[in-house]
Amino acid sequence: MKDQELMLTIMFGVIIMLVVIVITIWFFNQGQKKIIAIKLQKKENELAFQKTLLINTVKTQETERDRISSELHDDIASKLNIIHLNIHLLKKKIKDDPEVEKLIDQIESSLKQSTERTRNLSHELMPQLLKKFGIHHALKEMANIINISQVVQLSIKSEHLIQLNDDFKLLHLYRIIQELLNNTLKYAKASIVEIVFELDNEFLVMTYRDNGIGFDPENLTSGLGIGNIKTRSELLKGVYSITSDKTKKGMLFYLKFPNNDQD
Amino acid sequence: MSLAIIMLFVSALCSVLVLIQYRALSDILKVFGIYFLISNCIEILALYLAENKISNLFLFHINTVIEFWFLVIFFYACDRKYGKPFPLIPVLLQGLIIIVANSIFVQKIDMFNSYSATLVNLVLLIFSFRFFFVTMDVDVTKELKIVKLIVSCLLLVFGTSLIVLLFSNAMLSISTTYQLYIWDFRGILILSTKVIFGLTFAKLLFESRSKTLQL
Repeated sequence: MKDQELMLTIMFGVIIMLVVIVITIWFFNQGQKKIIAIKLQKKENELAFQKTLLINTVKTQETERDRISSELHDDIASKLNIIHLNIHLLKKKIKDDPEVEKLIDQIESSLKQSTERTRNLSHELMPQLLKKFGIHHALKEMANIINISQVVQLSIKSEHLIQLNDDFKLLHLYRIIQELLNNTLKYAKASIVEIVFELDNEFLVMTYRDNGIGFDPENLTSGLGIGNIKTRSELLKGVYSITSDKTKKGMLFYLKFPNNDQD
Repeated sequence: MSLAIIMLFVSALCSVLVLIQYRALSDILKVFGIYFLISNCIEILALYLAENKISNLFLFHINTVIEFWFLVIFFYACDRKYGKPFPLIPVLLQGLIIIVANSIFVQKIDMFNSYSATLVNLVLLIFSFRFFFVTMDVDVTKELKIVKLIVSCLLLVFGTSLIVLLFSNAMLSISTTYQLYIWDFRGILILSTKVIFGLTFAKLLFESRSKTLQL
């Protein structure tokens, strides 16, 4: 009887120990889950903060670009034009002194270059066509400029863009196309670029395709402006994908974003 | 089929699984794999000696040293990866001195080394709890999940063994039948953990067939 009691005591001790260990393991696991959940939440908050910061930076950048572009176009370029006009008048009045005339010619030439550069800079900062006549015209103008070179043939089917009436969205879309074209012209050695806009219910779908040498999408770096494209795609609340294959050649950029989402 | 034969079969099978998987294992699992392999070999040898009516008590002394050394290195490897490592050499040497001193002066080689085994169990229990505490704020990875499963099993084995070892001297006064009940109960628990270890290594084996394992 004493033997049995001792055996049962030991067994009871073992079982108690087992229960204590199981509870301890459960406690640690629950604790870990809570800690990881808090860490995850913190990480998500940080990411959300960074995203907001990035969006605000891009918005501020665009506003500032617009302001500088307007200043350049409406103020400095106008003043340069007036100076140019005055110099032209001055040139007419001074005809006797060839040295002065030569000097005026030089000033006129420099002034012309400066005016042109100011206009270009203003256009680069904020395309005036986009601002005044909309993306349809801006893209048409972009295609005209590129097609003049006869190195790349750019075709744009942008009829469905009329559905989009948010200025900021149009600007982001324009910048994405600018970035993609920039990459194609710099690296792709392409001869044909095709941009198509299509409607998919409440969404607008943009496909950008070139017939260049292609690349390995896994080796994409932010240096190719991918970061910029990603940020702007997020600002459009869209999803995007880049498909390319070194062996098959060419590149396809796909972007789908809500049509008239007011934020 | 007796528990000893089942134990023998499971130990052999698990050892083969560890051997097949060894190269694909991470450093932490390699240390545990070696311990598991040696421990299984000692167990198989102990069972063989017992079946042939030869004293196997000296093997418990060897097993205690191996268990202590390898599992301390295992917890050290875990700490190196997931936390702040403890001073390895002093812990290993102190443990070795105590175990050897006990085997030479207190419970000689032909006796069951319950004192040093109890101490080793206690130390490894503390290391197991420490591991859970240290890894509480570590992101869960595939390797950590496996290591946690192993440590959970070790906790169960050491926890229950500690109680049995604490009462081991008192147990000598009760009848052999009752003694066997307790040792069998402990044996079943160890067998269950071996099956879990075996299944874990088998799972790793199946996974490594389809892809290179990056633990």
